[in-house]
Amino acid sequence: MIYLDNAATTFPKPKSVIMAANSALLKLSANPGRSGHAMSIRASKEIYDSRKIIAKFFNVNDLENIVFTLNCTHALNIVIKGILKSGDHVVISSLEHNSVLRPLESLRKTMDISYSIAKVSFESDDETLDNFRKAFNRNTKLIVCTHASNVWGKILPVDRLAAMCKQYGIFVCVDAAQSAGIVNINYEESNIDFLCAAGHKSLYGPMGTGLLISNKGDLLLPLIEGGTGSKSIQAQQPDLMPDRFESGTLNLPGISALKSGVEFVQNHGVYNIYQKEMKLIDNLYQKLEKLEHIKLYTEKPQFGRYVPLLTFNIKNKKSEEVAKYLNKNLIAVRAGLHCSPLAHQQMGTIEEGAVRVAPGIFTSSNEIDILYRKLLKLE
Amino acid sequence: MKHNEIISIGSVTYAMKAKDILKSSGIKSEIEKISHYKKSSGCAYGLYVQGDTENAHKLLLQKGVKTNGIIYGNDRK
Repeated sequence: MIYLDNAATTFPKPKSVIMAANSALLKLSANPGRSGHAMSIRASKEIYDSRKIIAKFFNVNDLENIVFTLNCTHALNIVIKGILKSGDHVVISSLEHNSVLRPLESLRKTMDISYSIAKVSFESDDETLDNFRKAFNRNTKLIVCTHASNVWGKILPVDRLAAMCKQYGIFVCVDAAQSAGIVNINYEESNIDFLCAAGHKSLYGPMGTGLLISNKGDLLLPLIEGGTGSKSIQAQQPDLMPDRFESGTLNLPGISALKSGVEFVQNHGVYNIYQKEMKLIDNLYQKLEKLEHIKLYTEKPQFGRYVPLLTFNIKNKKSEEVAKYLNKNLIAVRAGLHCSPLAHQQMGTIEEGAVRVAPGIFTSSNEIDILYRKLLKLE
Repeated sequence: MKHNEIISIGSVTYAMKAKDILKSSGIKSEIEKISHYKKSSGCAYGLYVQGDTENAHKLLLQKGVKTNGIIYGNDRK
């Protein structure tokens, strides 16, 4: 199989990641942060070391500000539901995933929260910034913004947005599901307040892992409360980071494997991985733009402006039909709306969806050529 | 390592961070779970320090590590 669905989750995982999960299950399967026996302490050390490596990767000063979550959606929900109060206003981008839109829509109905959608310009970041600024009102408390669109690959100017929000006293939450591991993120040097990431995409960890990074955890009410192994006499949830947001037994095999994934990315270099995958996309784009029966929606993805994925349609064919055809030819891609109806609405593809090709570090140029030849046959 | 005094720390993450900080200052320590539930607001981890516990504790406070204080030998159970 040729796997080109890496924007959904990366596959295959590096051997070191598989070995780490295996080793954790075999040797460290005690509950971390709960007991005092040797294996539990070793398990706690493994979690601690994972925080340390991830903190270094994202340049986070205090490792306790790394919170392990189930996935990026979980992290986004912690932020959105933890910070907003009745009457608050939020601005989101026009490319947000349902993991942002749905919690906000739910709060709009139940808690008198309002939100506005700022249009992302594919041509000008200045225009995107302007659109956000125009959407602010005196009740705006938070912006939630994807770092890179999971549908169109467009990288948003999150650092500039965060700097602007700081001037207005507005909190910034960045959805880095599609960028963490493929675009450098420096938490301490940015003005980002809440950084949410998936562990199983370009960080090459397993599914069931995600991250919330924040030095403002005290501003959020926890989404889940319960046992943390700390301050257990108290009836109320501890205020310590990261315990405040980590009730229940942690996913030690997943976290240990995520640590290995991050090390894998570090060893290869974020920029090297990005460059390799962007070359594949560039090559595919150049070929597809010559084909009459292919409909492309964005400019040629440029370095620094896009993450490596390409979304298109075949004229007169439904996107799911194309994905089915490719699947029969042992090529895995993702069709449909990609859980991002807003992004499809903006591009006018809400009816038919689109076909997304997303390479990973293990994708070869030969595999992209095979895809191209299969698409030629659909003419 | 003598275990007369122990620095009580509320969570395992902070206990490990404290151990790292002491190590970088050349101070050896060991982590153990302790049972001074009332003093520590429940389950907690302790750091046994090889050397001057009070100085080590001061260092941790300076570095921003949240502790529950030192539990002295007579209080230990």
